[in-house]
Amino acid sequence: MKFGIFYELSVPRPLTRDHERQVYMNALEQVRLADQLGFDTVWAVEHHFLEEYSHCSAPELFLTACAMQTTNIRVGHGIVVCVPEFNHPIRIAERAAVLDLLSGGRLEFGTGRSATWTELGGFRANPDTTKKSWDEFVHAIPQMWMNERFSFEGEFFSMPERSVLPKPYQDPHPPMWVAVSTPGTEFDAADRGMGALGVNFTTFKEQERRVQEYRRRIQHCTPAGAFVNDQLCAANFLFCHDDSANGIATGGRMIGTFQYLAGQLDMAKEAFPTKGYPSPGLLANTRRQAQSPGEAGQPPEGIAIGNPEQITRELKKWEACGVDRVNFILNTAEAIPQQQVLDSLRLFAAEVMPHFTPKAKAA
Amino acid sequence: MPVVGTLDPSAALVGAPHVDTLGDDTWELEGVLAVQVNWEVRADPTLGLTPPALHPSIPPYISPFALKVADSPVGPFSLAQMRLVVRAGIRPRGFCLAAVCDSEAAAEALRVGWGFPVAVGEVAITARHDRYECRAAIGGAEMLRFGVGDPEPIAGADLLAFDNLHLLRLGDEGVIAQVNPEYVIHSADRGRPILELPDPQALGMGGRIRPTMAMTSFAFRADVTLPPVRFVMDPQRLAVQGTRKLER
Repeated sequence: MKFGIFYELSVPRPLTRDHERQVYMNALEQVRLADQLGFDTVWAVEHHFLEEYSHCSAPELFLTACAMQTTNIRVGHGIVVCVPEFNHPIRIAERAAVLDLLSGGRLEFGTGRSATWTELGGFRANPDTTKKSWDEFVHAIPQMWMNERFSFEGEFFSMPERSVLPKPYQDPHPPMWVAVSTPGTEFDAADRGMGALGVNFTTFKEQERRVQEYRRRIQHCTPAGAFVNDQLCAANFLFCHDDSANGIATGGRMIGTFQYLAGQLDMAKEAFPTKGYPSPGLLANTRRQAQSPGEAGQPPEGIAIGNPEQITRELKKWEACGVDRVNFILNTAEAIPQQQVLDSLRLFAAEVMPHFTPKAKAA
Repeated sequence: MPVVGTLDPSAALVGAPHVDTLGDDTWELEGVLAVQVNWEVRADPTLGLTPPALHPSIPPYISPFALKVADSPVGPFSLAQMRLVVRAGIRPRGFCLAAVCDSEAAAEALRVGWGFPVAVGEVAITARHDRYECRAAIGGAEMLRFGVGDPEPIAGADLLAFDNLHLLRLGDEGVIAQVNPEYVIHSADRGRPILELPDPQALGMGGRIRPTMAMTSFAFRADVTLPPVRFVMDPQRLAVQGTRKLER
């Protein structure tokens, strides 16, 4: 199983310029350390207008900075919003290709469609049609990368024949993923031969069911790109400490803060009735578990907080479910001091990661 | 920590409903027609309408809501509400700034039973092929007009109706009551939002509701259960810390 780190880039109030910069600088320091420690991928969301919860509106820039300061860790869009009011597909293809070139072929290309009214309304996008525009984009973008020249007549964009440049470094193109926040989207991923990038928090039982169905359906997929990316990621939190009580309390504080901030989001379903968003989205579980700001939340099942033994035990359960990767949120609104986040990463790499290396598995 | 409201509850409570105890009755209302509009409003002015217990939504929006009730324990009535969408902790709620009811008996029952900040006036809710419409007035002075233009059917399961919050004086203390209606939706339509606020000072808006962008509007027919209030919160403390179950 591979491990990644996942950034929302949440900023605590008061929203000063210094706070904004410090959150970004802390994240970059964590990424540099994660690269040295052997983490596989750093992922960054694309969110807009989500006060405190996520100030990661230009992930291509953040990920470029990550790539320029690291050697091995892959850089992942988790995700790019494939809705025309947010991003023109040509610009998505161009920016991703440049990031892939600059990183030396380390890009993971995650796609999605936004789930909040705050964002959809902010760009005056129509929640009824985001799934269709996403579908159109994820089929067109790899063609832009693979074909010398490309033209397109679609429902959401069209272009005369042009050469979309540059081409990405990975040939034929970077692995493609879909963010899965609502039930059923993992099957959209499977049907298109794309990886399922879990961004919600679910139970082992539910995850196991989704993995089985995903694996079954992807056998019969029609790939959106040139190849099948048969992988599932699960989202998680990480706080590792030698002392179990400290690990759980500190990690719980981070989770509580995350849940409370996430609970403030105006999900599309709440504000705009549409079959395009059949459930409240990634936050259904989070809402049930949230307490109050800054207090320890009730951790969802399988969360990686505590001492190394506890965390190893929980991650083994994810592995048994058939999950290929786990991506960790390391902090929320700086609820955990930076030094403790770095220490947690080091301890995890030293004590937990070895249980999941190919060598450990063979033994 | 998300932003909280800046309303002074003690000042707002002066004109709020005043009851010694909230009611124990449950109303079962069949065949109710409901109309709702969601409309974004300017952010800063609405903070002054929001108690410190609550967070503004991001972005802030109003959610005018009307009910046309064919029959109830006090007879038929129509009710139009001006609501500001807020968050109690993490839960979206419609904080009712004011309401108008066309039945004196219903207005009294809603005020005493559930703490609705309701005045008696004229409420006309109409359903036509090309629109649903609600008009509310007091003493002939129109205060609110909203509706659903060019409605098209949608699934009832796609709707989420917010629970209400009512600021009131309960005995000697100021509280915010949570009113949690349950809906069994039989049919629903969504369409073009219509909103007019002829008097921006009326309906508890105090000139602070400044519409900016239409979001959506919908109408539905449902059986509605209005249970007794079970939870109240301290208007001065965060909802997650100041909510308590009502002793009966």
